[in-house]
Amino acid sequence: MSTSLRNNLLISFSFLLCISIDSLSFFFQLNEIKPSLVLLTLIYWNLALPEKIGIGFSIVVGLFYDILQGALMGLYPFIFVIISYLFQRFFYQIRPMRLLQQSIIIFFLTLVVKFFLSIDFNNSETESISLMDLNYFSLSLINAFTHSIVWPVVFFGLRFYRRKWIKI
Amino acid sequence: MSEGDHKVSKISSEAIFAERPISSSKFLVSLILCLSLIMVDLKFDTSNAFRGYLQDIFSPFYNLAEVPLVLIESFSGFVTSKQELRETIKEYQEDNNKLQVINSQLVEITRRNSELDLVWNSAQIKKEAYLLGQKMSLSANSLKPRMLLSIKNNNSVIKINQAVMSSGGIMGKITSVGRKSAEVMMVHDPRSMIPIISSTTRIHAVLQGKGLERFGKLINIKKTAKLKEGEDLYSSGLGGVFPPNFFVGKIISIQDNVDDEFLEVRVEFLGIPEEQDFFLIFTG
Repeated sequence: MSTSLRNNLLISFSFLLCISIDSLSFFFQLNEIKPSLVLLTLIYWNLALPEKIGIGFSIVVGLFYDILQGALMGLYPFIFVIISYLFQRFFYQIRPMRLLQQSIIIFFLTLVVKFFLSIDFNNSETESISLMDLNYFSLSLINAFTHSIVWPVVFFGLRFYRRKWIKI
Repeated sequence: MSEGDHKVSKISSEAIFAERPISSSKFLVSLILCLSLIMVDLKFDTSNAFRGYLQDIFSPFYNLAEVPLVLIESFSGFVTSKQELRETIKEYQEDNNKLQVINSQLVEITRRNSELDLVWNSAQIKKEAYLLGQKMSLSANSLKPRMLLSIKNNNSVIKINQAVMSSGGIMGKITSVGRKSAEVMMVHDPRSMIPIISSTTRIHAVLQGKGLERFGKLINIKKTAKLKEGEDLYSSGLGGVFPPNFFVGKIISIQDNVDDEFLEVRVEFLGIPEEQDFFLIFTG
């Protein structure tokens, strides 16, 4: 097996593992605040091996995620493509940052993602374009905070995985 | 490494190990592709046609996620000591005694069951019209809650828009069907609209969801309507999607806002079926 194929398979495996963990459902509040490991994994691979993670990868992972989350088809690919682009575009600025600074970026990024997900694409609410209420807003804040807390764990975990298994 | 993978210094021809960002044209094309997918899905509901089949393929993921729990359970079962087993036997003996007392009430329960059977027959609903589905997962998306049911004896009787019920009442309707699974849009979903009738005032209305752990609302209720707080709401059967006379929710509050043309009626749905595993699909 070629090194490139092996690496792609190992990266795909990390995504599959995160997708299956993300598909676990708990009680309502925990579901709302639990971090999306797929999103964090995507960010990590974009920072660690940007040449391996392209647009195609983001779209495929996003489509998988659409199915599992029951979202509109194309919604998560749209989010993932933008995130991949931003992290690759600002790769030099973000990669040397401290973990704390990266966590702050992830906090705001996931907050924006949560707000985007609350958009009422089906127009079921005639008065507003968003389904967000105060409860959703506060849970989104906690969710973003959880993402930023979990980021260092994901970062070091995947770095260990990359150094142990993925050979460039 | 090819030259395309990195920048090359013009002075020394050595590689500057810089990664190229995703090209803007690729990025734009991808965005247009994703937006097209969203628009097509919004306009024609295309994903519902194949989502169920994709869930069949992805069902191993749900099982994979359960593996750690199963391992922990089997491991804890393996290390159970003799003392714990004795305690368990003692608990079972106590339960047995309780069951013997409960059994003495069986005659009365049998009589009541026969009464219920009469009610069931009088309702003229065929038991065969219901199919059992087992919950596979409940999505974490609170604004668009979705439940995935695993169905063993599908035989193509399950179709889109069939109602899904729990022991408490209506839970939602099927939006996508696969070979062994079906996706259910919960009543809490903002896209869900159920024709209802109120239990005491007998007013017809349409109930719309607002998301999990949120109150639903009755839409376009005239200010002259005499609905009461605490009133139960049942499916009216209008439209033919949901069978009539099943519990849907309860009126929590009625507000008459000055700047609003209609009454604001908030409704509490049945709880989220986190603990419940089996649901009935009305195929009738």
